[in-house]
Amino acid sequence: MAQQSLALDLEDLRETIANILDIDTAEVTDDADFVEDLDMDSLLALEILVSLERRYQVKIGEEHMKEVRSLRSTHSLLANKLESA
Amino acid sequence: MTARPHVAEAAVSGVGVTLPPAGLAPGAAWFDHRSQLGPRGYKYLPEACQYLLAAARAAVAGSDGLLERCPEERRGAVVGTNSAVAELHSVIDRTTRTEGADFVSPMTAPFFSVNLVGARLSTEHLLKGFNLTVTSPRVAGVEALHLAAHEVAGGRADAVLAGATEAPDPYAADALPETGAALLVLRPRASAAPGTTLLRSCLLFLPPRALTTAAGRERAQRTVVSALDAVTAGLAGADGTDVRLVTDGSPVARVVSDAVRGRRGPDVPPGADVPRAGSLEAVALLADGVSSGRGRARLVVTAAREGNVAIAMTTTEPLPGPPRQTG
Repeated sequence: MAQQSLALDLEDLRETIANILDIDTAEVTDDADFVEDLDMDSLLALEILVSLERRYQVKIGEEHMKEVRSLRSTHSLLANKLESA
Repeated sequence: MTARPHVAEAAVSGVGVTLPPAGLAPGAAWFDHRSQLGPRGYKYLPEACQYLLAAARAAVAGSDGLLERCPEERRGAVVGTNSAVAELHSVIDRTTRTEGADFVSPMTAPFFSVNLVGARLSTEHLLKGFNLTVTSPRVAGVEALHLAAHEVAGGRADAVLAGATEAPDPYAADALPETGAALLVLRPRASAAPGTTLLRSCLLFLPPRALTTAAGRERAQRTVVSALDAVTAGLAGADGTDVRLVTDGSPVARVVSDAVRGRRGPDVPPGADVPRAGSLEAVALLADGVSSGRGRARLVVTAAREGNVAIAMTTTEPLPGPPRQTG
């Protein structure tokens, strides 16, 4: 069932990422590396992709997985996807 | 029908249960995985897996370091369940139908295979000897204990975590959903100190079609009585045994109930007519018997409409040698 897409908000995205990674929101700083600093593995990366696709109603694709490495890069990726949607 | 019952025996070195408080309203929250298991790393596990891990930690903690003393390849796990991932299957099915398979959670999808629940138990406690999951209707929990006891008695492992875990079955219909986990740590009887609780068990299958005639029911009752006698063989205080029936009102359950009450006396409380949508209750009763039995033997008999029957007893009474393996 289609859901309404959300406007992109950095703090909302921070909370979403923290919730998926199961950590405190404060740990998701703008430039914290999801893999090196927050212990994201490949399954968690896929979980983030699927969650963001559902939440923002965009198709991201696994080829963009390497861009999901920090809050800043993820925000940038999403902004581009939403702009071109 | 099984003519000569195979009885398995092992010593019980630890008990762990994770059960909701009595009287809790259906669906009410009662388990916090962060406080019970850890702040991170457990969120995506099916709740039955979380219960299992919590019960395992309690069982291992109460086993006086047995697991740590056993080589990893001499440790095993046998888990019984009917509905550990039923809710997950429901969610995956719903997501696939309404949003598409691309939206199935990658973190939870691997658990579509029920074996992964027990596998996580092995990962956490380095149980590298063997890992088995059984799902027989209603008796899977006792079946897990039975298989584990058989393996330790046969010398395949020095310690086995065995028991049941369940999460509410969304397709339970008029059956009573079960939630929680109960585990025993089993070891070979010969390696346990005198006075250690012993577990004996036996599995039967009574084909429901065979119970449609008086002769079939009579034969089935003889089979059950034979198994009861084999499990309780040598028990001096048999009259004081605490007998519990976990039944479902089916023809199979009626035959088993009649046989048990005929053999053990009319004071044996009748089993509930409302079937349980899981295999936890019998194991929880055995675990409770170990924890609070105060030396009194507890005999638990489970029967399911599909024909599966499981008989298990815990006792601290020093029984004569292991029962003869006939199966």
